[in-house]
Amino acid sequence: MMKSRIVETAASSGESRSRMRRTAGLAASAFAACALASVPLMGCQSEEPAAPEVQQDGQTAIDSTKMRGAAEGHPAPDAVLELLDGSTKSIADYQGGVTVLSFWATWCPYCIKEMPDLQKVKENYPETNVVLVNCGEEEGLVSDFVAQHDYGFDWALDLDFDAQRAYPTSGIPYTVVIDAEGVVTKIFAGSGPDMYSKFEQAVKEAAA
Amino acid sequence: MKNFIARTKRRFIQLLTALLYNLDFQGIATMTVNRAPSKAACIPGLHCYSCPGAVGACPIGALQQALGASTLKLPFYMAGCLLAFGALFGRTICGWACPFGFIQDMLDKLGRLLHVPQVRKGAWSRRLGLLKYVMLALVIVGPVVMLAIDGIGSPLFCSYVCPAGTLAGVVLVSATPELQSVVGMLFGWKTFVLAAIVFGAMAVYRPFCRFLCPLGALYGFFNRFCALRYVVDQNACTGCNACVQMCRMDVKHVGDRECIECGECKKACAHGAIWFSVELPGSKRLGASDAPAPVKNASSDRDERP
Repeated sequence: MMKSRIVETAASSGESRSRMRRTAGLAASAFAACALASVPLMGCQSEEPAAPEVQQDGQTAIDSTKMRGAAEGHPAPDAVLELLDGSTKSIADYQGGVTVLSFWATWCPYCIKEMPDLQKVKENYPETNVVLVNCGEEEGLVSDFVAQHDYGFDWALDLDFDAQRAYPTSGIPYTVVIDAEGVVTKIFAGSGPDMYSKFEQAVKEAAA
Repeated sequence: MKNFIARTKRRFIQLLTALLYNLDFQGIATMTVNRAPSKAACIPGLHCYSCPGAVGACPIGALQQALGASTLKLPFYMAGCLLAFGALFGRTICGWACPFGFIQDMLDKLGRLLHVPQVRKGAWSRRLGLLKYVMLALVIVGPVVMLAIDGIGSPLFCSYVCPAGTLAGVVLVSATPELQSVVGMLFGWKTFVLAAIVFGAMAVYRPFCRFLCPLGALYGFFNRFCALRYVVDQNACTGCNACVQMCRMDVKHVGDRECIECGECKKACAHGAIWFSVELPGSKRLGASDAPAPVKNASSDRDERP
């Protein structure tokens, strides 16, 4: 904050005007200092680092500056999932059938709101794998949630955000539809009022 | 040169703050929404959290989020932020440090350049200005009510009204197929609202600020006593009302709740009665009473004493 009291009267003398100029200069440099100080903060991204640069399962390396993991028409990035029953399964293991991979969290109300639509997909297309990957929450919290709801999904944990690093996104729910050959056919960044018809269409197209 | 600087310093600061709020160049380049620690800090003006370039959070968005999701009865951090910004700056933020206000100022210039017929203020605009208090009520009550209805504290103002968010949204959606998969009627509505405000801003001065902005409504309550504001010297004022007539906002007096502290009135005052006061705790102002005086009015409205 400015140390000196500035009062701009109608009959300003030259002296007070130069005082004003000095303070304006101070203010401008304070602004500039704040701007410079915030730039290193931009580098501190705690949860969403760039997509992996390393080759994975034969797919092309993803440009790390683009921060895009899954892209429609490209092979789905692979990651190891820790399922709720304790077993591990990698995303590539789901190949052979259509997979709907959805990232969610218990604190995300829109994720929870679209779960009935996903359940309907599972019921109407039982050969589809519907895998719900939780974003970084504890096993107890997730299993409590699962127990309270009766959904037929594959529940997976992602405590170290490994799967999310493979599928970086600005927000959840983030749903990726993968065909039987492991190629991403559709991505839904977010949710909406009637997701079932969108999910159904995506699943049908992936199966075709 | 000195005059040029004096005239353009507000524009310069407006532009500077608009750039400062959008320092996340990586986010803009990759069309992603940053979640760095700095995003927890509220910026004073209206700028969407979900803008790819944003380095801080919108106070209105953050307030709704806190009301809808927090278990606290009062969201202390948000209330503190808004009180601090209001008490320090009041609506000086509107006139100097809001990117969307700046955009409307530029659109106003563009409208006059293109000879768009200008719609002047009047009793109609003063009445319509009450709508922003309805928006403020929506901001505070909306998430709480929605939480009770369906368990999701939806930020109704952000979802249905805010054009600042739509600016970011239109760019994001155009660049991201994954978002195009999910947008529907609501996005169409928001785009319409944005277009209406953008085109309106070319004919009407700052329509969003005057009629819809809940943040301006909130900051307006602080205008009478914030630390930085324009005040009228009661001794020098002759009651000619040139300031109010010059003003493009719907003020009744300089520095009332509609005033965005832009300083245009100062240029209209032939008696040098208007000046910008920076009042720190414990300091005394020269040549004026402690309370900002209402302009003495020939056709006087009811005196608005603080």
